[in-house]
Amino acid sequence: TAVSATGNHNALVGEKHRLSAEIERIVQGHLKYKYEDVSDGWDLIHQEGEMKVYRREVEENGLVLDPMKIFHTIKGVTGHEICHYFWEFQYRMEWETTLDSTKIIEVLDPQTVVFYQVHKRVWPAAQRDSCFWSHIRSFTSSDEDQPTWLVVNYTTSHLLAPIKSPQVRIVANVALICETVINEPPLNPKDIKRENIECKLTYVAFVNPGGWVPSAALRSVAKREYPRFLKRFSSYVLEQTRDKPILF
Amino acid sequence: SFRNGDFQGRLFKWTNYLHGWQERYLILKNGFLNYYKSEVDIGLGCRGALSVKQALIQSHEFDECRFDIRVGDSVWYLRAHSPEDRERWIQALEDHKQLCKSESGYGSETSL
Repeated sequence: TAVSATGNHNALVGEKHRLSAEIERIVQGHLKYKYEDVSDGWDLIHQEGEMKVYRREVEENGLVLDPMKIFHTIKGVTGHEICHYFWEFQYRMEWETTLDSTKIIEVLDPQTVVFYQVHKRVWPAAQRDSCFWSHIRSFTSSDEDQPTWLVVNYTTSHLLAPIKSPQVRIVANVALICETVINEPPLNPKDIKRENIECKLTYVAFVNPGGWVPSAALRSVAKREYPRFLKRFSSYVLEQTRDKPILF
Repeated sequence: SFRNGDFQGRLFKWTNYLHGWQERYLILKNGFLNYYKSEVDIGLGCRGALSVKQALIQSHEFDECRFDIRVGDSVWYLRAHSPEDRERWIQALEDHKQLCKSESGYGSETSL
């Protein structure tokens, strides 16, 4: 990773740090949630090629809290590669077009960093910012299968990122979960080519932009922006990896 | 009656890019194809199972030892020790599938 420690105030105690327990809880929650059926209470709001975007309309006190669940299959890349480009700081400004700035304000462990980001202002709305921990990991359901990769971004508060009015803080809980499928495996695993691999991706998001935004406007923006983001990001990863050795 | 459709033996099964094809012990029984690391490990529980009733069994176009079993989104890639062995497996799987379909309720939630 290209991340360097920004200080020693996060002193690791063994492998644990102040956010370890929370991260574990949120990650496990996403893994359980991922397998929940979308047939009940979810609307398929967009379909495009392999991509399917589902939404559940949830409102509390007039505030839109719609969870989104997107399934996509991307040929020619692995789950590790997708998660690598999503998590690693140095690529972010190349595929994320909605930011004015992004920076790491704390490194909690080699798999977890805290980001502070300022989002592009969409006039006439107030400018948004975000502060979240970002965690990457891989795990195997059995030693016989390809590992699954996952990145979770989850809103947190931080001394180095105070909320400054009139800026509005975005609240987000996002997970990118990727499984690699190897089609037509060759006799020797070393002969696997990009044309034989695909990544099955699940993107789960609970995002609230903060402040007050009309429900209808928010829903139409979400419907348009999530597919757009996933297409842009996946074509970026395809472009980056095309001529590189496969990162399994 | 179902006992007739049982079948077992060793096959190579695709695992992952690190370990590639590994020899495993497979048992076809009661509507399911189960696999174990080896015959010795049977008592330790199976490592995976597929319901045969809905399975699509396909032999490989060029590799005479290979065949795939698909159920929904999951696929097992398998290699027999010889083309004859592959034919025996495919026959056993197809027979078992027919048995599942004829015996109502078999291979569904009601069966175990």
